[in-house]
Amino acid sequence: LIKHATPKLVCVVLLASLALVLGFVTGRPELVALCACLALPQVISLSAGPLPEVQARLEFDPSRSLEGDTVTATATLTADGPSCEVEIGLGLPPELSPRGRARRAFILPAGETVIRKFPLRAERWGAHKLGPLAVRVRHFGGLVTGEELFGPIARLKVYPTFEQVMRAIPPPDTKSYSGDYAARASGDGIEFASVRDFIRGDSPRRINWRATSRQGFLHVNVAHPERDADIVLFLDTFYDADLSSRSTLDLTVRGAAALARHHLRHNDRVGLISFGGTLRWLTASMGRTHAYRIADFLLDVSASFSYAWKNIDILPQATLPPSAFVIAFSPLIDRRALGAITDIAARGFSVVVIDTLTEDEIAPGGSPEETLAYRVWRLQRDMVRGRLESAGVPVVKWAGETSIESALAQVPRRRSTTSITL
Amino acid sequence: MKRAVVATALLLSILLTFYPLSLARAQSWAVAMSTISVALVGVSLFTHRWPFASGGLGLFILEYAVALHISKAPLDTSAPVVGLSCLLLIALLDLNSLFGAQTLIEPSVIVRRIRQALAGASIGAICGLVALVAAAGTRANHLLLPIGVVAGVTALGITVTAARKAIVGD
Repeated sequence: LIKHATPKLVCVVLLASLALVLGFVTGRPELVALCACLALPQVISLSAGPLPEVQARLEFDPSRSLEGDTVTATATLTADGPSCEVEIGLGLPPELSPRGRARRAFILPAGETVIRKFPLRAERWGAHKLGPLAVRVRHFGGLVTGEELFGPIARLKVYPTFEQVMRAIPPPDTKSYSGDYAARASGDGIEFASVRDFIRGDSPRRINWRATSRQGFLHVNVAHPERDADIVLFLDTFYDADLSSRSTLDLTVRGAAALARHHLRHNDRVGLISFGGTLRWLTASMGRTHAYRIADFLLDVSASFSYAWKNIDILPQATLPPSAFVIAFSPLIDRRALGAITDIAARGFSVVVIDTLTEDEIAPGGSPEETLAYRVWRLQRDMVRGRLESAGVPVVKWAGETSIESALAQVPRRRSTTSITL
Repeated sequence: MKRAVVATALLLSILLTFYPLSLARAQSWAVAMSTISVALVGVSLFTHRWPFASGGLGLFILEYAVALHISKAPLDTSAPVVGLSCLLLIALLDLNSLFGAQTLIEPSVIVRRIRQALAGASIGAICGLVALVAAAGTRANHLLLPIGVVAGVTALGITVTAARKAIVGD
C-alpha cells in the first residue's frame, strides 16, 4: 500500500501549531489547551496498530455477454490486520456503464473476506478491459490512507447484436462443393436452366416429356447445380469516422457480423481481412468453430492510424481464395483501402463495397468557405464512388438506419444467378 | 444524510466562530473575521476542498487568540469545549468529503466515523481540560514559560513523528 497523509491530518497539525504559537505569543493557556485538545487525540489514533494489508481481486460473471446485457463484476477483498474502512473504485471503460455507483465505502472486518458486486451494462461490443481495482484503506482515525491498484485486469468480451440477414447478395462465382447457390454452370440441380437434346447417359428422370412429344425425339431438362461459395469480408480499418449517432467502424463490425453469420448458415466459407494500420486476417473456413473465431476476430477490430503505405501485395494468398466474392466495408476515406479494393477487383474477384460513411450526417459548417469545402468534399466522394463503379465495383451506401439487407438489395445483379432462401 | 452533515457542520461552525464575539464584545473586526470563517467553512463543505476549511478554522483560532488577549479575562474555561467543537467540525468536514466522491457509503461506515469522532472529541476535551488546568496553575510563574514552550513543541513533535511513522513506517 502507498501511504498518504490525509488533508485532515495536515489541517489538524496546522491548527494545533497555530494555536500553540499564538498561545506563546499572547501568553494565554486556553490556546495551549486548544493545541493539546487538537493534537493529543491524533497521537492516540496514530499509535494504533499498523495499516492492514489488503488483498483484492476482480472477476466477471459471465466473462462473455451481448450488447445491452448486464454483467456483474465481483470484487473480493481480504484484510490481514485490524478492521478498517475501505473505499474501492472500479476502473471502467466508457463501453461499460455501472448500474449504480462504481465506488463503494465499507468496513472490512479483520481477517474476513468481503465480496462486493458491481452490476454493469455492456453498452458496446468489444473486448473490454475492466480495472484496475483501486483500493483505499483508511486507518488511524482517517489521518492516514493507504492506496493500491489491484490487477490483473479482468477482460470481458461483449459480442455485438446484429440483425438477421435473410437474403444477402448471391455470390457471382461458386465453388465445386454442394451448397445453397445456383451455380452458373449446368448440371444436376433443382434450379431450371434450359432444355436440350437427350444424350446417352442422361437420367430418364430429367426427360422433358412435353418438349419430347412436341419435337418427336427425347429432350431433357438442364438445371443449375447448387454450390457453395467463398466470401471474404474486407474491413477498411484505417479510419473510424465517429459520427453523431454511430461510428463507421461500429457499422463495419455489425455489418460484417451479420453477413458472416448469414453466409456461415448457408454453408459458405467465410474469411475476414482487417485492412488498416494493423493488418489482420482470417482465412476462409466454415462451421461453428469458425463462427466463434470470426466473433473473436471482430471484437478486436479497431482503427489504428498508420503512415505506412499498404497494398494487397502484403496479404497472404490464402486470404483471397480463387473466385471468392469480396464484400468490402469502407468509409471511402483512405486511399490505401481504395487502392486495395480496386486491385482486388482488377485481379478478377467480384467485389461489392458498402459505404459506411453518410455525408448527410456531417454538418457543412456556417461560413461560406466551410460550405464550399463541404461541397468539394462531397464531389470528391462522388468521384471516388464513380471510379469504383467504372472499375466494376458497385458501391452501396449503408448508414445503419435501415437494415443491411435493404442496402444489399441495391446491388445490381450482374449475373443470372439465384440464391435459395432457406 | 449529506444534507444533515452539511447543516450540522454549518451550525457548529457558526456557533464556534461567533463564540469569540462574546469575549471581544462584538467588535466589528471580530464580526468580520467570524463571517469570513463561516464563509470559508461553508465553501469547504460545498466544494469538498480542505484548504478552505483549514483557512476558516485558522482564522477562527486567530480571532479567538486576539479576543482572549484583549478581553483581559482571567481564564476562559470554555477552551476545552472550543477544542471539542473544532474536532467535531473537522470530523464532519471529513465525513462530508466522502459524500463528494460519488461513493456509495454503507451505513456501517457512517456509524464507525461518528463513533470515532465522538471518541476523539471526548479524548481531546479531556486532554484540553487537563492542559488548561495545568497551564492555569503555573500561569503566575514566568520561569515555567520555557518549560511550557518545550512541552508544547514536544507534543507537536510527537504528533508529527507518529504521523510520519504511520505513513513511512519504521
